[in-house]
Amino acid sequence: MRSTRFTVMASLGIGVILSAGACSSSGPASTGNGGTIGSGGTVATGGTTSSGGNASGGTVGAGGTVGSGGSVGTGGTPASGGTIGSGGTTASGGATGSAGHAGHAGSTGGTGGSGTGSAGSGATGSGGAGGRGTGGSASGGTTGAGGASSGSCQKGQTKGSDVAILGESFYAISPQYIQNRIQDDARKAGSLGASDTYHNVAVSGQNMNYIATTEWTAATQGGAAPKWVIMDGGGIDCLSGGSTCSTCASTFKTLLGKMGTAGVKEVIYTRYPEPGNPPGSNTSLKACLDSTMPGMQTTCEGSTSPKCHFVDLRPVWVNGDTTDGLHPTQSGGDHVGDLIWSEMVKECFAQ
Amino acid sequence: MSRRWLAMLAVAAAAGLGCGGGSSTPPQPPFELVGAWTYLGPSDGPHDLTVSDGSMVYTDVAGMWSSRWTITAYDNTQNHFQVTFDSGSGTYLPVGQSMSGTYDLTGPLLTVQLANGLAAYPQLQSPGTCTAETDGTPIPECRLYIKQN
Repeated sequence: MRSTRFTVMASLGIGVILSAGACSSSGPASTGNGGTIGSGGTVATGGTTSSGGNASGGTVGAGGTVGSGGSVGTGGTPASGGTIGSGGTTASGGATGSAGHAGHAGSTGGTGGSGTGSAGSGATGSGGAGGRGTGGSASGGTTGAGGASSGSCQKGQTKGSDVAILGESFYAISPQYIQNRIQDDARKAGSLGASDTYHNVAVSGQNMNYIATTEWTAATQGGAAPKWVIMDGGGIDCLSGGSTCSTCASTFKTLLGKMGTAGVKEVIYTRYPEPGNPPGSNTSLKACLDSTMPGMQTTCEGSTSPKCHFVDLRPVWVNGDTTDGLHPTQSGGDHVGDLIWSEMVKECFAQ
Repeated sequence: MSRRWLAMLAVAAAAGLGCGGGSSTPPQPPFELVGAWTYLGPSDGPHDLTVSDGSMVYTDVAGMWSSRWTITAYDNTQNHFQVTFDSGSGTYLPVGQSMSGTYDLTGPLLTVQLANGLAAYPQLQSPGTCTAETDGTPIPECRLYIKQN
């Protein structure tokens, strides 16, 4: 009897539905555009509503209802590279849907997103495994959809001394609005102890060479071994004259090599906001930064060990964020700090 | 009468031209710090320093305070200067009635170390950083600036 029904359903192609939803249930935490919907299993009986979608890193499929579980679907078609996925949102879990498995990245998949979604509210649905897919063909999931992924990023594991801040007055000048904001965000998220602080070795007025040598030495002095680094550099080289910093990128590359050897996992390099008050009005400095920063971006994004994230601060820097055209006010520090923190969350950076 | 007047005039003219055998001091070159400077750190709030002939003005970029000082002496060779307090508003800096300063000028970067009083010039400990080499602690009364365009 059961066998007969399977055969009939398979011939009607109904089983497709179930496997598709599962593929996307954990996608948010795994990759960008994961596999397209897999062609379904062949013998599903009953599951009807496991909706989902592509593992585009965002939302999570709503839970299916009372899926009694079809067989494992076959893999989906290879996906094109995905974009960075943002954390998944909470899914409304299915009544009896079982957890979806982690979606696999597309065969040409792009950078995996990091999931931050919270667990689904499904009665029995649990979050699919998160992860950072970096390739592989899209595979059909198992049956049922369920809660959202909680990702593989573990929180509360970071000590302040694991994070070093390098640079010049943008990070060094008192009050250190940017550092304070990031730390506040981290504490609220449970990623930094109440009285713990990051290790800021930034020194005002220093060029890229000083940052790459003296400051890096200071960051590792006394056996310190930072796992994550937040930094800038090159601004003083531009302020010192000239239309570009021709050595900054190579100096930065050398520094990244040192960091990799020392065990640094990830680096966030921040591109300066538009200089001047109002932003962009310091045209000579802006011209030099516009000439120098693309090389820094290329160097950063070309680094794999440590992985380097280039964060452009210009979009969040608005009127009132600086008074002297160089350094942040409270609002500037808040805007920059929040942007850096959002990148840290996305990349499971010092969480 | 007229001959005596002419003689006096000649003597006075000669003295005025420095030909009377007396010594004269060549005019002092302008103070090399004249210009506008942006504060870079390490420990005070953002402010500008404006140096002109005879005065030094510190101005908070948020407009909360300022102070004006009269330059009473400077020496481009020794990298020294002395100032006396003229006026101030808000919670200004630096604080004192008379100050002696030692500076380092490297490219567009200016490091200034101040000390209260006129008795002696302070030693410049960390030109270019104003922080202790050992632990990065900011050095009191040391300020780092960069020349404004």
